[in-house]
Amino acid sequence: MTDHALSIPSPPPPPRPRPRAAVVLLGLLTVVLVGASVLAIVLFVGAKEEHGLEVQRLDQTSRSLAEAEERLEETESANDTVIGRISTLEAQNAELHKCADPARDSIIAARDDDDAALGPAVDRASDNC
Amino acid sequence: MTTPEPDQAFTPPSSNPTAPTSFAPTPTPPNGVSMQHQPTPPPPARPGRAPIVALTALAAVFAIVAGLFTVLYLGERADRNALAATRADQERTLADVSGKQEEADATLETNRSRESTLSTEHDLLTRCVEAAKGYFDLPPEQSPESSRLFRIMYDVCPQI
Repeated sequence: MTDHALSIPSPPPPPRPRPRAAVVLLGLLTVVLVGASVLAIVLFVGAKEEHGLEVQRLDQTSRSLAEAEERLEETESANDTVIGRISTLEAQNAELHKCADPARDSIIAARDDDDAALGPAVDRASDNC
Repeated sequence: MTTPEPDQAFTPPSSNPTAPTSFAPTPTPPNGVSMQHQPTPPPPARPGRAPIVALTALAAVFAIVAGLFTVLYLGERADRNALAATRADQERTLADVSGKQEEADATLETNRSRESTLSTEHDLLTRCVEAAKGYFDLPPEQSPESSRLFRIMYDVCPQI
């Protein structure tokens, strides 16, 4: 008999873990997160620009509102002044009518040769003027 | 003579360079049959964990970046919405003010017209009254002054 080297097989090795699967999964997750990051950054930049535009629009509206309120205040002030002058004129005219009305009536009666109306009108004019 | 069990895989001599080759020879039994028990191969080299660690770190970084910018985006959007609401309020107020301005302009125009009428009337009244007062202050006899004043009264007072 010759020497035979018969090897006794060893038990099968345990199933190898699959690191490739984990790497692939992590790679996919990373890609997804990169996409999400890019999307979030793009959205943030867009929102920031929109925010800036909104601030400008708000400033413009605020200025317009302030100008409109100032103009309204000036108009109301001018209106109050005119109303005051109207009141003064009405009071003065009411006082002037006391003399002017009988004087007018006297002139009209004299012009129309209305002796019946002329006498009382002249009397009232003489009293009030 | 020992034969491998049928259910055991026969392991041929390995040519794996990683397998150790310097095992101590098993002593040959007296019958000359070498009962060499093949040594258990060492566990396979652990796959490198570097890619996993790197990818995990990368994923964590991008997760943080995505979360951070999402929060910032939501904050910016909330601020913008608040500004838009404020602007909408101001625009409504501006519309109200514009409406009041139109009313005030119309009222002012009406009052100015009324003032102009009253002012014209006031001028006529003043001229009529001054002439009448002068006329009635004069003695009853006719004079050039009384004629002048009467002429003014005649021209002006009927216009009242």
